[in-house]
Amino acid sequence: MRKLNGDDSDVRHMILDLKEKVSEPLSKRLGQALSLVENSKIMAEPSLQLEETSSLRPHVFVFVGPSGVGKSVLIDRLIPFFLRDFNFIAVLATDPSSSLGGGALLGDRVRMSENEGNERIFYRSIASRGSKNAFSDSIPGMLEVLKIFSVDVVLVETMGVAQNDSTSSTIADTLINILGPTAGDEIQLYKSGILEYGDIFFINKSDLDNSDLIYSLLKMKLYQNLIPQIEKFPKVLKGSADKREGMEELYNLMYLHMQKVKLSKIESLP
Amino acid sequence: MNKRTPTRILIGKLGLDGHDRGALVISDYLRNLGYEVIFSGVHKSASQLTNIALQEDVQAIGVSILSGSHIHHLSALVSELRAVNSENILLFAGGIIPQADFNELNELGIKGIFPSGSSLESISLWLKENLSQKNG
Repeated sequence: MRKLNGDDSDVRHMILDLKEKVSEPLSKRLGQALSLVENSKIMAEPSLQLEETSSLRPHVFVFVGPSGVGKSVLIDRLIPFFLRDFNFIAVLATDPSSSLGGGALLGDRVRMSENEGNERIFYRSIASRGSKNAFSDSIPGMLEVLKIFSVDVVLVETMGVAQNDSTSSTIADTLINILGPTAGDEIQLYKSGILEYGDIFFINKSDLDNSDLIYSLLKMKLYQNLIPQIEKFPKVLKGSADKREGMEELYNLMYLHMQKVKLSKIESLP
Repeated sequence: MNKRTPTRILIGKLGLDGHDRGALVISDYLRNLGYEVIFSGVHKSASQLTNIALQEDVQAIGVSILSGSHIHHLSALVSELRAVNSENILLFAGGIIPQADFNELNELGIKGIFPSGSSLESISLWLKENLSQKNG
């Protein structure tokens, strides 16, 4: 393989070459194509836009929430529903790189036990490599690569987010904000920051104490801003990914939101 | 930001062996050295581990095995990697592996063998040397 010299057009050609090299397994070609983007730091700007891939890019679901709230397990439990409706699904999971040594333990894949090996799922673990956001800076470029490889839908798992981190909404078509029973009292829910964002709010671990309270408080907070338009998003749901409760309801809402977004994209076409 | 692109290493567990302490110790150690370590979780098959290595585009795979079935599982892993033309991925293994099996594993293409009791430093030195040879 040619060495990268930071020339975007070079990277673009190498990605297209990989797409065409059908003698190799798809997972290998796509894996290498994503590395090209990750290691050359080219972004999703016009450099990667290609005429032949001018179709709508895959719908991007982004999952945010604090560390340990259950994002990886939730994604694993939702995958069977996506497999029912879509042909080729990609998961991009970011975990933090150390600011001390630059290393990372990418451990989200451990939760993928049940779907590991399914050829219709492409799963990639990504280290943040110094990104100031809750996702790797390579993700916009990677989304372009996934479009080139005809991925239908992308699930982006962010790092456990801090209260003030709301940049994930910039890459999301549908943003799923996940909270746990330890989200705090009512005042926490009224603060600025991450809770201002979300098309769907999901209270996970609903089998644990306090989740009903968080659910009610959040629902009241969100809906009191929306009284004239109560049918609109955001929506609040609760359930338990671990116990597979509320998964189908959550998926159906996600699907509904995706259709709304796609419709609005089509309507905005010239 | 690091100027150097971090090396990606898959630490995997094959078969019914569910003891992951050693794999986690190695993963944490390599992470501290600046590697990007993908941990597969336990109970993977050779074909699953190969698919993970391809999707994650790793430069090396370290397999931890304590069940005694290292020859069986590692042979399967080597054949799976050959089948997808990815025998260039550096392989190393650790766990309960008797000296008597070293030759057979070497012949399979597993040059780095670290039986229980090996020092962490011996693993990092071996990796450093072999990864630089591979890239050089």
